[in-house]
Amino acid sequence: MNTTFSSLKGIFVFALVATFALTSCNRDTEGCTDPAADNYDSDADTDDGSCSYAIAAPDTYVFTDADGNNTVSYSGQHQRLNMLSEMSSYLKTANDEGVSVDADVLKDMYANEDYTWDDEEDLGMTGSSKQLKNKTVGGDSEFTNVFETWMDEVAAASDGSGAGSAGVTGVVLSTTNPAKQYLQSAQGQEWTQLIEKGLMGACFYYNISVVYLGSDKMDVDNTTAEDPANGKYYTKMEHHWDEGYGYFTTAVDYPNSGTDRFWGKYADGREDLLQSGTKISAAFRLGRAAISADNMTVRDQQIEIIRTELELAAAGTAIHYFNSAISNFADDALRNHALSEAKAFMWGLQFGENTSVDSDEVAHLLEDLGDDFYAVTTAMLTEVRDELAAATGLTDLAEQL
Amino acid sequence: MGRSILKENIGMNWGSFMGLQFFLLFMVLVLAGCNPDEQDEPGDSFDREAFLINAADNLIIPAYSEAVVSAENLCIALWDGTLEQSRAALKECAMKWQAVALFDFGPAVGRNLLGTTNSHPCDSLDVDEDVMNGNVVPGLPSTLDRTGLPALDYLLHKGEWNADRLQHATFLANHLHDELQAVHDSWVTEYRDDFVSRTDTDIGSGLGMMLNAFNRTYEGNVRKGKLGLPAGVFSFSGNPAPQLAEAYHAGDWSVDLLQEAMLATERIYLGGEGIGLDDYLQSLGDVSYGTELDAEIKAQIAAAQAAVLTLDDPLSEYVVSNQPAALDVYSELQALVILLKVDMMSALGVLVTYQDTDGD
Repeated sequence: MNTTFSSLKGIFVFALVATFALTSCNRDTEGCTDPAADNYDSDADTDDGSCSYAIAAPDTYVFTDADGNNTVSYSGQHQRLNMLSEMSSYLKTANDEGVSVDADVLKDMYANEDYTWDDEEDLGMTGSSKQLKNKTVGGDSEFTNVFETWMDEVAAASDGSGAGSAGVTGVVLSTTNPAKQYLQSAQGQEWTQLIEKGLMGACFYYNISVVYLGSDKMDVDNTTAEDPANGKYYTKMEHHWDEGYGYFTTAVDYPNSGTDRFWGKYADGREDLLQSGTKISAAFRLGRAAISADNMTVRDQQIEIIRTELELAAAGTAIHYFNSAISNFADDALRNHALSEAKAFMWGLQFGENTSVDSDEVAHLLEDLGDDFYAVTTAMLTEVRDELAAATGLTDLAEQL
Repeated sequence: MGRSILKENIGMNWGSFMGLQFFLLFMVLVLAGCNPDEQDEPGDSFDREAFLINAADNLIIPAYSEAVVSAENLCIALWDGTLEQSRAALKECAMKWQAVALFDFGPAVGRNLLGTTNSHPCDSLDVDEDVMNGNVVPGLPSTLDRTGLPALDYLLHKGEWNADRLQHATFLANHLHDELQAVHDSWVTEYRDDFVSRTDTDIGSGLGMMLNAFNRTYEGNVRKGKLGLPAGVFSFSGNPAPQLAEAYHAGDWSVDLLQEAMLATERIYLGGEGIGLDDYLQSLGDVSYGTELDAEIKAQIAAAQAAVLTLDDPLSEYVVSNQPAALDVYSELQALVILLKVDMMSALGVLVTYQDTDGD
């Protein structure tokens, strides 16, 4: 009698526990949630870090061939990132009243013509063939003209600049943070942000998403090293992938470093809510390892992840700046500054492959935002923010970003 | 119901005794077995959904309802009443606003309710201009300081009361009412359910949004706006700035507004009659960040309220003639910032998100 009882009880308990595993604990099922992994578990909804791949991605962006030779090179991208850093620093000097910037100098920097760079990292930027201009949407004059017009405008505005305010071009002082002041147009547009963040979109983002991860650069030889005699131990495909990475960050150990500028910075800024920085950098490492292992399935999955996550990082950053404008609404300098950032990030979204926000949608959003940042209301900003969030699938996070 | 069935089962044959055992086992699994991770989080036994429901239904929505009614009464007084009645209605509306101001998140942020309702001091020259021209567009950055309660305070208390002023005051009161109504309606029709469903403690959680708004507005609008600024805490010279007192033109109810704001602060902390932040802290146990912190916060709220009672209207004169005393009161308000923003937020594991440290 007793034996029967206890074994029966055992069965019941087992059944009961099993029932629980299937019902109340269901939402907490842990496992590998990455479809690209060997041990992908379609029932899992929380990733427990157990994913394993036939292809192992290294912790840093360091890749070597069988003989131990470094196969990674993105020196051209490194130069261009440094060019934009120097251009931004130069533009920001105009944030002091009376300090002017020269349109010809800006255009020389843009095209890398007759310009002597500081080149603190000794990359050989001065006189090199690398430039931002011919990589701006493939050198399309429709877009390079936009940037050169902004350069003309900021130069004119900075010449003999005084205090700015609604209807008056000049340097606007923050009323809440004495450390902040920006040169802005009579409508509150801040050219430095339009140019810097605009180039992040039209140059860096475009080249990653459309050019280097596109079929023209990916459906190429992946068997022979380009030119080992001259230190080029990489295949064409490996090299193109690295060039894409170099437009994201030049740090091999991202996000330990490389979070100080451009996409590396803003992806990291969206880390809390979108995990942009870790997702994008991990996909770059895994995709590169996949190429070296000649596994195109895994590579293509990483291309998809990088494109998707970069778009989310860009849209999330634009939304973040809309929220910043809303919370600093009464401070002209900070509001206009944030809106210039938001506008530029939003504008850049059209340059992604298979974008959710094409040029028509961008034009529509910009029309809703309007050109005069002194004439906006919080309700307008909220509406544009929410439209952008809806277009990019970020509605649930629109208030928190 | 469940309990009475259990009682009947006890004392019956072992088959039903087994049923009881399974029932107990069931309970153990429900309470403990499911997700071991959650056991590590502080205050996990606390029912955050009940907390949010109480906040929404017993604090937030009623505060908006009362503010809407008070704005309606202001409009009615302006239409039909005397100037004295309008002034009394304005004071009542400003008093009701105090609770609403502390809930500056969700639909209120989307309409910049805080900015359009109470950006003080108002620019009285611009308001005079608007009386003449009558074409002010509320909600623009440039018009924040010429709408809402501060502009009405000026219109109803300074200068010659005439038909043009009445017309403009009516326009501003209507706008104020419509904005309050719109935010109230958003809460009732959709936001309330969304809010109470966000039961975690992350950035976008109900708790995260509510407590960030609470701390931000207590720190910026109560402590600083109502006393710190006029008392000269934030002025470069350290001299008092009497014209920055809230309801400066009425003169005799600036301190009333501060008292009301402190009562609203206390109500939020206690959750009114329901589940409040005090219960949450107590649920963390008999530790320095639990019951002890709760007691400290309650004591400091009481100390701050008592200190505020020592102030006299007109506050704009008091901060000049009794600046050291005003600064003492300010330090009591400041002490509460530390307890609420630093200690309470970290005890509850809620991130303070309103200090934007964004780079360039």
